[in-house]
Amino acid sequence: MKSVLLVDDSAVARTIIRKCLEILGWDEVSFFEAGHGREALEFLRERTVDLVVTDLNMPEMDGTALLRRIKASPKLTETPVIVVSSLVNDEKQRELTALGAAWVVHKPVSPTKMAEAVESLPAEEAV
Amino acid sequence: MTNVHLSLDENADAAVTESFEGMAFADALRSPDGDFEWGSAKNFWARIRIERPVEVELCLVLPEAIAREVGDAVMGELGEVGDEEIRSVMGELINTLVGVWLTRQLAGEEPPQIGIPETGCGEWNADGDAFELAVYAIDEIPFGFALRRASAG
Repeated sequence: MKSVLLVDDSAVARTIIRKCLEILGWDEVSFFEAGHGREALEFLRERTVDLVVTDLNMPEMDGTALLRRIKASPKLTETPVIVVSSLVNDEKQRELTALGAAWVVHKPVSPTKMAEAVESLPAEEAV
Repeated sequence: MTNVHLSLDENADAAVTESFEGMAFADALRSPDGDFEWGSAKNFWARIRIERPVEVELCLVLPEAIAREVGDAVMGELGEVGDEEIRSVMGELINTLVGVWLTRQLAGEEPPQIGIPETGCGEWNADGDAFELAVYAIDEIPFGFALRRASAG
């Protein structure tokens, strides 16, 4: 079974993203949640997932730092990361892409926007 | 020293409309002549600080009727929506709204930095010169969006 780690300090945001993915057919997927980047890294130390979806603006460790740490880790570097944020201008988008983000979704999140994001993933990650 | 000046202009209006529509399927429009009871004990509020490029605080203040409608629209499928869930929804709403607004307003500027949302219920004091206030409405029920400049202390 595929697994997805949702990283956002807002439980509401995690719920909205999960609902969007379920609408897209990702309902046979194990969803795990973390409230910030540090918690996500602790989770990923114990097990790997098929996809990470992360917010940017979070306490403790933000999404940019989390993305950087995932892509710098030999164990995690192949894990696709979708960034979800309302606060992304062209400069930030370029930075995130250069760091290895698979896609950047602009909030408010919708099933249509998440569909674009998951369609950008390598074929083996598709559900 | 930055030259950026934020005010509740048409970009703020567009961000309010887009965020309410995207998250809660609600049509929120500016109501220039609208009258809103900022100090009602039954209001729910959510505020967030912008730390860069300019220091201001933004606060969304919803009357209970709209707050519950928005909470139900976002979280209703998952069970009963109480005050705690409404506050969580409002925190995400202002986070989204402010992000959408700043992305429009500061296109081409250095990426802004914002704080973590805070939420609460009850009276919200909008008195003082440091506040810029705007009234919006959903189905003719008014709600408020306020900007407080850092010089207010």
